[in-house]
Amino acid sequence: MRSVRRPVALVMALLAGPAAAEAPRLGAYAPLHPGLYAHTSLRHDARDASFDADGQRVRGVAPASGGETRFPQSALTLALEWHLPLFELQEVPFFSGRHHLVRVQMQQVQTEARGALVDASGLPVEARGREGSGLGDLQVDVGSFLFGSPVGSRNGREGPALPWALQLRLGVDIPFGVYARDAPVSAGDNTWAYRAALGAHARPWQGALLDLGLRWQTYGVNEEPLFGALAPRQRGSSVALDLSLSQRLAPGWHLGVYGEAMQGADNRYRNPRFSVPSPVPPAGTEAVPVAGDYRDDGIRSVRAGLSLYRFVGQRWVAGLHADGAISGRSGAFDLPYENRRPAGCQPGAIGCTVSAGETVRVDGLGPARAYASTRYHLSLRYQFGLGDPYPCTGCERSSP
Amino acid sequence: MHRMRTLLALSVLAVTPPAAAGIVFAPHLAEYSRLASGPYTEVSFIRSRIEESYDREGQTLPLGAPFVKPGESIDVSLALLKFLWVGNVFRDTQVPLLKDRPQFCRVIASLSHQQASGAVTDRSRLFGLTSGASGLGDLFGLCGIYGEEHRLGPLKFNGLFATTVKVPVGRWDEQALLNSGTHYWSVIPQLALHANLWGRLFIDGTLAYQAKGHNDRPAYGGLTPTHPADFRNAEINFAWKFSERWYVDLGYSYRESVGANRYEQVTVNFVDPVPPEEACDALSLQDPVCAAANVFFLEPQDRVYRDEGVRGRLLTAGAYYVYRASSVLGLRIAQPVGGRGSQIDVAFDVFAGEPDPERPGRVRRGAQISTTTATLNGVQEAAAVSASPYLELRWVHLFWAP
Repeated sequence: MRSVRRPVALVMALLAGPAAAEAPRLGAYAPLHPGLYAHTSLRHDARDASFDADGQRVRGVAPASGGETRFPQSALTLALEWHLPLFELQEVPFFSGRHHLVRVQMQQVQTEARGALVDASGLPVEARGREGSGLGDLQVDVGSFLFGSPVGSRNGREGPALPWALQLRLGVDIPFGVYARDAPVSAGDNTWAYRAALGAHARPWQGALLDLGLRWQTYGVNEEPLFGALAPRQRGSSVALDLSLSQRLAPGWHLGVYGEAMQGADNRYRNPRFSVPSPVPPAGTEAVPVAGDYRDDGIRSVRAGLSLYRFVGQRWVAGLHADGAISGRSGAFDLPYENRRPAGCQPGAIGCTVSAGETVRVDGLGPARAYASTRYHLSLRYQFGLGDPYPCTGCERSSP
Repeated sequence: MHRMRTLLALSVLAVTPPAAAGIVFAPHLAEYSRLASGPYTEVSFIRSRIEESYDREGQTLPLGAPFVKPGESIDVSLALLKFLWVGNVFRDTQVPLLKDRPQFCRVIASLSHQQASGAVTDRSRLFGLTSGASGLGDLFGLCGIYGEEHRLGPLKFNGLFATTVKVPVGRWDEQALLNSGTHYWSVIPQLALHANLWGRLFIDGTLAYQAKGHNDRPAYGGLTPTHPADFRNAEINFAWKFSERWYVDLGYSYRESVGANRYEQVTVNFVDPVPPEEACDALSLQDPVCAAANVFFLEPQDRVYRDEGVRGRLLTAGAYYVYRASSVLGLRIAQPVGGRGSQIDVAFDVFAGEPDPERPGRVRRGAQISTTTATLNGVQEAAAVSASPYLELRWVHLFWAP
């Protein structure tokens, strides 16, 4: 248990990793007919509430600032997903007898920082988050169906399709997203992420789709964490479980419930340069954070939501979704300060004295923040064509 | 067979990471052969960890030397998205020359991520600067025309002429060591030749000239040139066909600046006054002032600085696999084998620090006590020459077969 001498000094939070904020998809782990699918979604999150390090729901994302602070965010997501057979004529072990998928996802993110904490930080207006708006990180996933196949097609031969499927997926987040290092929020994370996931799909009864996924994700080092290094330099690995169940209500209409639980390991921080607010030093001195490595206890998030899907013709599926936070925990750590006299002097210089200062409680930024606000998504999926786009998908050739 | 050859005729222009000086015409298999009419898409992914660069003597330097210890690096990732159209809009006209020669046009967009490691980042913060960049890069558009195809026994060859325009729409941060964009225009005419011997050996070569515009908002304290020098490029590539599906190639690329880069807004300076030892260490000064007063201030002199020009030589080796007659997958490594990077000698005026009567406990700039010189490295696309290899993964896809 950490001891805190002063009231906590919460700082701004950032957006959570993009993978955690995807719109749910109908039959997320279902094997689809070979072809190209486009998924688009529009998401809005007010980000006006969060969970603190003790798991308590709090108003705003930085209550210690003395007023309400928000990080509203809107994001437009486009994902292209190919379901395809590979090497079906070459008899390549593992590949030839299965269907596979490749998924590429990109985002355009509008993000902003508003409220008392931003005002107290002394940030110029142009650094208040909009500078961090723009392209998000690129996600690339490749996967294979260990079991299961598209309905009505099994390597080109007619046969009973399995009512269930198991998918193995590997993915990477490439940090091409915009990252404003001096702003409190950004579209990207400046961090590589790697993940492995297993997803199971089943049709337990008529008109129902059940999807269950288990995902493990680990992260590279963020060499330049934003906003004074108050975002983690090394994000802790995480494990997430997601579950969705949808039921056809009427021809073309599906209603679903979904949820996700995520637990992350400790996040690590290095050499924070400031906190907001910072301790008031004695007259004639300057308070400077003590350089060093710090850790929080990791983040946790449990969310649940509802979805309504509508099939429009054979190729379009529209969806409306809303999810809220059930519980969570954000990252925080104690940051000690030292007082330097005279102000502005450098330790070790002649006449410069250093003494211990106060310790403040600091909330981790960015992926160390668990939001408690409700998210709304509007999604649309388009299927580019039925049938096999390739000249021969595992077909049998008869001799002349 | 024809479709397969069509697929193997790849991009007419390739771009290497922004961290390397100039646009490098990195050769590919059958790069300049006449393609069949149709649309082609291509995605390339490039990775590099830059640990060394070239100085103005042509020697390799650990990244950031002598200002940071060896072992630091810049992590670079680049994705190039390309769309190529080949056709002949003048085919049914009487326009001379063009009616008999197909044309091609291409658009290239890029996404990049570049981030320096810890010590470089910490050093940059002393100057109030950042050391990474990510986002959309500059946009390239090119159009050209193929020459006629000629045959001499087993030899078949053709030429082409193209012009590329680089549009500076990429993200640009004046405070950053690295940037996705370049913030200046370029126009690049090129002549190229393709030859095919026995249907097995493919030879591609090109000569290009990069005419560069000005950058009125240099980055990183003015250590990107305001007037980047034009460039000359030459490259040649040899490829061998093992089978209908497997190919390998070897290539060589040379580039050099025409004259010097000019730096007209060098402002790099410490954010706060620093003790002599730290200032001298940060700028690698060897000056008596390093043993002087408690703190001092530095101010770069407002002058035009010129480097000695830059150049680079690159060897490439790759392998290609043709899949389904609609896709080509390529893996290639590029290794720098020589170069010269940009360095300038920046004059700094040195001022003593004195107590500030208006802010007790603080120090202000006092009288000038000296002038000193620091050798600083030019940075980013027009100035820095990487000495580290990069890896390229490439996928070309033919959506509609001709």
